[in-house]
Order: sequence, then structure tokens, then C-alpha cells
Amino acid sequence: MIRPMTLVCLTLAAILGFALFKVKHEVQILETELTQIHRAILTDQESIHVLNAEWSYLNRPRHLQKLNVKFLGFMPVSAERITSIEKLPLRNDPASSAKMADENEGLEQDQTSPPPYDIRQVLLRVPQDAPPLPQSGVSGNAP
Amino acid sequence: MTEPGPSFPAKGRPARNTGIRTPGRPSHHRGHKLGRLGGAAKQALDTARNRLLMTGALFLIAFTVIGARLVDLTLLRDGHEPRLAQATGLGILKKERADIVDRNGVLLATSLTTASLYANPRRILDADEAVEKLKSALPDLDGKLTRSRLTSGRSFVWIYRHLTPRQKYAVNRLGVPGLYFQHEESRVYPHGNLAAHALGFSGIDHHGLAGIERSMNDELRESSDPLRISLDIRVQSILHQELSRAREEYQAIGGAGLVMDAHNGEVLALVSLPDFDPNNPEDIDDEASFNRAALGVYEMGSTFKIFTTAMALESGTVGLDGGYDATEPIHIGRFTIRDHHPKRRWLTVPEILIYSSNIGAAKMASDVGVSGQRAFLRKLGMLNTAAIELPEVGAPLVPSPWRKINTMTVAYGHGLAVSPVQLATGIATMVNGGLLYPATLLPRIPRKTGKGERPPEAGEPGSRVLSPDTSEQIRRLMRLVVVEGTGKKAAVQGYLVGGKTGTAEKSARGGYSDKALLSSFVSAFPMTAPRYVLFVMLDEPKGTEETFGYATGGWVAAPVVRRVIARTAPMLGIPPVNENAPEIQSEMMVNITPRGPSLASF
Repeated sequence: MIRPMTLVCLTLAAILGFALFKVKHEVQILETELTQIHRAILTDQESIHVLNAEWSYLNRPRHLQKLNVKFLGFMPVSAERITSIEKLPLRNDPASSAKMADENEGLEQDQTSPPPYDIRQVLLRVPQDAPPLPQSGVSGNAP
Repeated sequence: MTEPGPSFPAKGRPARNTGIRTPGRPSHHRGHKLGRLGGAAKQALDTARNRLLMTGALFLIAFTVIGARLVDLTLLRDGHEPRLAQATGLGILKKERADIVDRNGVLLATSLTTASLYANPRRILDADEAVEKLKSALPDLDGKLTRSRLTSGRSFVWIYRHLTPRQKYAVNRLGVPGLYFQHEESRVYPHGNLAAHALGFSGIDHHGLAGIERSMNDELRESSDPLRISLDIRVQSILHQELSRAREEYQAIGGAGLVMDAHNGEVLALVSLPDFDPNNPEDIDDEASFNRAALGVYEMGSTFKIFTTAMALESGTVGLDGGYDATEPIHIGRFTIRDHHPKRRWLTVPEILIYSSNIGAAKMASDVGVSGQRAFLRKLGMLNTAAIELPEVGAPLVPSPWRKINTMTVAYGHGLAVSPVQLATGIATMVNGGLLYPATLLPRIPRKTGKGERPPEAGEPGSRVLSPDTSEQIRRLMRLVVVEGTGKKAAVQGYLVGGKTGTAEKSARGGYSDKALLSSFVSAFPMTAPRYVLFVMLDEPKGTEETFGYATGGWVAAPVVRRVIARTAPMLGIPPVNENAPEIQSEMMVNITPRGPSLASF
């Protein structure tokens, strides 16, 4: 006669055995997958490595310069075209403009490199099709 | 339990033997029985009981410990599954040698896995067809040689080494049986010859054979992290380009250039011409592999007058307003020291530097004396081999014995040969406030400052050679040379270049040759607070029509300095200044008015 307790134990053992088998099988599949992913990662790392080398090769300064001459025509910035924010005159203020131009005169006197245009003129110019900027000073915003 | 009562006492006896007393029973019975067993038995029973207790206690302790550990492991510590799975066999790509990158992380040297093509001729069906197909994929393949190899009947022949991925793909596409790939690692320098002398190269067995590759060989082989060096490939490229242009224009046999951070000795660019392509180490000849910037030692000529002036000002033998009589050449022994641009009058110290007067410099040095000069130059690192991380470093040629005549010639840069790296290090010390920072190709780790840190000793990074005051005076003088003197062609609008020309006659058999010159220019910028030192040297330049036949430092090397600074200064983030602004003028002002010996004649 099979006691109920034995029956329960046998059933439990069978369930556990099957579960163990299943989990182990799944782990095996996952491990295979993991190995494949590792291999793929290594391949990708190798590719990145090659691409890095190629990137550096394509960015050779002299090569970039050749491309620049061909397509862009950029020139090194000359000293007289670099200024500080304090040196810029106030917008639409002729007095300040004249004063700053005076102070900056020395910087520009020996200009040899083209073009000798004043960068501040470009910055000061109000775009034609843009809405007019509100006038600074008392007259503009007085109630 | 089913047995009747009378047998109880019989059962009670073994119970009594175990020493368990049953309460409620008459004590005289027991006393009688125990008396029968005797003292020895009682003692044995006690011993057994004690042992049992001891063992039980030990087990209790052991199980308590195990239990506590169990609780500790499961509940308190690592009670959960590991969050990050410890993957088995996760490899980080390990190369034979680590990469080398510049200060901005631009790749300068790397190891790439390349495929090399080999064949098993016994499996090749049709050699002619195979060669035809291979020629279509690899146009520069030697057809004849390959055909003879493929028909050789051996089982292994190399066809083509180090294919690019694209070539490998093309060969695979051909579908020719009997062709196989062998994976190899090769060292690749994407920038070619640009930084050849600094980087060096490595051999087929992945060992560094020159440059940083050799001096940092162990680090490169052990680490997988890229090695960061102090070069800036943009600055390197500009210096290389401008120096190459000048070398071509003046047909110089060689050239050298160096850009150094004045405040820590880091080398941003190091160029030596002619150079080589480290990608093909087998094609390098001796002339190209010679590093003129670090291995070559040269008598630098007038650039040494900066050191002489600094030495004289520092030792106090003369002030900026002092001077020397340069009317007559100096005759000492069988030598005559004369000036190239003789003024034939009394010259102030600034004038001696502006007009590059040998006589003045010689007199200045002999006032300081032989031992003073040697001690000063030693502190400046001119008498010791430079500490830069390159295997190709030249030791200076120091006069021995060092006599008075040597002191006089060394004062204007003859008789003591140093490498450009040493000279640039010395100039950096002159202008940065007087602190010596030996040249380095690796990022300099700032020295700890604060309590308990000992001050740097002589020769160590940060050791003091000059007082800040003398350094400031030298800065004014170097600026003056560019504004008023021999270095006018080095001036760049807005960047306050200062410097000194140097033109040395190369020593030939039995003396000096005035045909073979070594023209150089050493500069620093911006002169109000110098950040970089730039040295340019051309070896045996020839004058052109534009230079009116001159091949001196002021004519051939100074323009290179101007172009390099004009291109690099905006890149290095140096704000241009208005040179005519009164504050700049006063900061750079030097009184050069010759007082003349009229005062002294009183």
C-alpha cells in the first residue's frame, strides 16, 4: 500500500527533477548565447579599433588642410580679428563706437592680412528683413 | 509500559547507573547500592558526564557559529543574487602594444590585426587564373613572382602581407580555392612621418626600437590603456610643415624644431628633418633616423648670449644700465674674438644682445668668472644629458679643461655643444620666472605644494635657477631683440614675440667653416607672461635672392618662427594684445640709450 506521504514525496521529486533539467537546459542555451555575444563584442571592438585608426588617418592635419583649401578656404585667424567683449562698442551708439575705434587703432594699424574689414561693422549691422530692434535710450521706450 | 509494577525496581537499576536520581524513593536503598558500587565507579560516571557536557557545549558553539554565519551570509551580506553576472571569458580586446595618443586624445600609434594572404599551391587548381584574379584584387602584386611561387609545389607560400580589410574582402570575393589568411598584428602610425622622431617605431616582434616606443616599451606592452603623451598633433603638424618649407627653400641639409610649454617642460611638438615613415621601419636610413632635436648636439651660437646675460644680471656683476667696451676685438692666446656687426664703441647690456656682440658677451662672462659660469650652466642643465623620455638623447660636449678662453667662447655659444631640447629647456627657465622644468614628452604631474613638502632640489622639476626679477629683465631683453634687433622677422602682430637669433659656424677640420652655418632662432611668446618656447634650427641653409644671400638665423629661422606662432597662437588660446597699448609698452620697456664711457672718463 502506498501511503499518501510517499506519493507526495515522489511527485515533488519528479517535479523538482524536471524543473532542474529545464533550468539547466535554459542556462546552457544562455551560456551559448553569451559566448556568441562575447565573440560579437570582440569583433565589434576590433572594428572600432580599426575605425579609430582610420578616423585618425583621415584627420591628418595636412589632409584636412588640403580639403580646407579645396572646399572651404579658411585662413588662420589673425590677431587683429580677435578682440575681447569689453573692446566692443555699445550697440547703435556712435560715441562709444568712435571711442573704441580710437582705442583699437593700434591693433589695426599694421594690418597686412586681407580682408581689412571691421568685424564690428558686421556685428552691428541690423538684418534688413528682421524686425527693427528697439532703440536704446530715452527716446525709444519713453511712455 | 505494559509490564507490571514489581519489575520496576529491576528497571530502576540501570537508570540509577546513569546517575539519574528518581525523586521520592527511599534514600537508604540508594545509599546502600552506591556504597556497593564504590568510589571508583562514581568517579568514572562523573568523568563521563563531564565529557558529555563538554562535547555538547563544543557542538553547540560550532552550530551557533555556523548558524550565525548563515544568517550573516544570507540576510546581512550578499543576501541577494549577484546584481552583475560575472561573465566567464569576457575579453577586452588585448593588443600586443597599447595605443599612443596625443594630449588631446588623437590616435598616434595603434596595433591592428591584419590578415596576410598565403596559399597552398597543391590545392591551387589553375595558377595562371589564380594570379589573374589576384591581380584584379591586389593591383600591386608581383604577377611573375606569384606565379612562380604558386607553381613551386610546396605546401605553404606567402602571397601578400598585411592586407587592408578592403583588400581582404576583395580576395575573399574571388573565391579562389587554396588561398588562406593568417592573422597578424602590425603597428600602424596613422600620421605617418609627422611625429616620427618622437614616437619612434617598433619591430616585427612588437618591441619598440626607437623613440617613445622604445623608452616606454614595458608600459606599452603591459597596459591596455592608451599612453597619453604631451605632443599636440596640430602644433606638430604646423611646425613640421613650416620647417619643411624653410628647409626646402634654403636647401638646408636638415632642420629641427621644438615647441615647449614654458611652465612645465611638456613638449608639444618635436620635429627633426629629414624624417621617416615609421610604418615602414625597414626603409629607414641612418640620416633620416637621426634625431636632430634631441640626439644632435650643436654649438648654438648667439642664443647662448641670453644665458650669459642672465648669469651676469643674476650674479650682479653688471646691471641692465651697465655695459662693456666693444671697440676692439679681443685677442686671447691664438684666438681673436670679433663681432659680426661691429659697432666699434661702448655698448650697453641691451645693445650687446640686440647687436649680438661677441666681444660684449665674452667680457660679460669673464667678469662672472670660470667657476661661476660653470655652476650656472650646470644648474641650468646645460652640462648634463637632457632628461627627455627618448632613448636617442645626446650628451653635451663640455670643454675640458674649462679655461678662461672657454668661458669667453661659451658666452656666445661656441665651445659648448648642447641639444636643441636642452637649449629650449634653458630658455623656458629664463622666461618663466626662473624655474627649471626638464623637457618631457609625458604629461607632467604637478608637484605637490604645501606644508611638509620639501622644496625641489637642483635639477629637479621646479628648482629655482634665476630670481623672478632677472627673468623679467630677460623677457624685456628678448622682446627688444625682436622689436629693435636681429630678430625683427620673427615679430607677429599681437602676440608679443621675443627671442634671440643664433648663427653658429659649424666646426670643420681644424677650425670653423664660414660656409656651413647652423642658423637658429629661439623664441617665447607672449613676452608679458610667456606660455610657450619655440626653437627652430636649420642645418647648413643657403641664402637665396630674397634673403640677399644671407643664411643667418635672423634671415632663415626667424620667418619660420613668425609663421609657426601666427598659426599656433590662436589655436593654443593666447589672447592677442595691442602692442602699442601704454601698459604693454611700459611692461616691455628697456632703456638702451648708450651712456658711453663719457661718465667713466671723469
